[in-house]
Amino acid sequence: MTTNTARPAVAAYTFDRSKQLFEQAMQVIPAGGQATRLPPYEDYPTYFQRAKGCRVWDVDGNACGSAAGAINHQTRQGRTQRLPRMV
Amino acid sequence: MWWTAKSSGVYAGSCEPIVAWDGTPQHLKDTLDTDRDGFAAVILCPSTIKPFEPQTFKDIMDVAQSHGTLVIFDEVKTGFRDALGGIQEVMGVTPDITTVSKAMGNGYPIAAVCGRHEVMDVMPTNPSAGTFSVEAIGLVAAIETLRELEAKNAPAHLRAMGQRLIDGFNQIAQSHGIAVEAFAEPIPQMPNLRFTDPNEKTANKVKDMFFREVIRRGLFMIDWHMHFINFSHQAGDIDQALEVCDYVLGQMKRTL
Repeated sequence: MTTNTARPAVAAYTFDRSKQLFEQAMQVIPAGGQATRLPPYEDYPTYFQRAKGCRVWDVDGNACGSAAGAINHQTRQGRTQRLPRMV
Repeated sequence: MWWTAKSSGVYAGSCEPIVAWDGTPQHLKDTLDTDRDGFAAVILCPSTIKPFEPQTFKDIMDVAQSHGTLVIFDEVKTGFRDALGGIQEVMGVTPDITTVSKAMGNGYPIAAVCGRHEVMDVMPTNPSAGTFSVEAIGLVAAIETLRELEAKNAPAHLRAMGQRLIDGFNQIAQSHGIAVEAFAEPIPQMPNLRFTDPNEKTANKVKDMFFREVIRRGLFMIDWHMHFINFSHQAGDIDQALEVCDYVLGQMKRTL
C-alpha cells in the first residue's frame, strides 16, 4: 500500500478495485451502496478502506488528503477524522 | 424538505403544507402575510440566509415573532463549526428550536433537537420512542467530541484553516489564469469552489477536468457539495492540498 499523501502523486492513481467492487455491489445493493456519488465515475474511488486524521485510503491503496469531511467516507474499520480517544 | 421533495416516490401533495421562501426577511414577511394565522413555524438553515449578517437574522426573528410563528434553526450542517453555540451564537439570536448533528459526533451517528422549555415540554405528550433509542455510542462520541472542541477552541482553528485554503487556492487559480474561485459557503469552515467561465460549457469542462484530476493526484474532493474543514486539518495538510491544486491547475492550463 502506498504511503504518500497529498503531494501530487507522481504516477496517477487508478481505481480498478473500486470499480470491481462497485460492479459486484450493484448485483445485490441498489446503486451499489453509493448514495452520494451517482453516477459513479470510473476514474474516481468508490470505496475507502481506512482513515486516519484527514487522510483516507481507498481499496486500491491510493492515499488521499481529504477535504470532504464525512461525506463519501463510510469506511468499514472506523470513521474518518476520528479522535484517538474514541477508538 | 429540500432533499425529500426531490426524491423519487414522494407524493407531491405531502409537501403542500410547506411553503418555500428565499432566505430574506422581506420574502419571509410577504409569505407569512399571505396567511397570517396559517403558519406554525419558520424553519431555516442558517447558511442559506442572505445577506449573511446579524441584522438579517434579527429581522427574520422579528418578522416571525410578529406573526406568532416559532423559529427553527437547522444547524445540522453549521453547528459547532463557527462557534460552539452555532451560527445563532455568532449572529446573536436564539431560535425556539434548534437541530444539531454532524460535527458533534465526529462521524458517529448522533442528532439532537434542542429548544426552550415551553416548546420542548410538548415532547412527553408526543412520545417518539424507537427500537434503537437506547443506543449509546453516538452519545458517548458526542460527549467526547464536544469536550475536545471546547478545550481546543476548534472553531477558531477550523476558520483559520478554511481561510488558508480559500486564500491559497485563489492565489494559485489566478496565477494560472483558470476561471475557478474558492469561497466561503458562507463560512470559511465550509469552503466551496465556483467555476466562473461565462461560457457554461467551458465552465463545466474545467470543473470536470479539475475534480477528476485532483483525485488522481492524491486529493479527495467532491464536485457537488461544499467541503468541510475538520480539526485534523493542519496548516501542512492545507498546504499539501494546495500543492496538488497548483499542479493540477498548471496541467490544465497547458491542456485547455
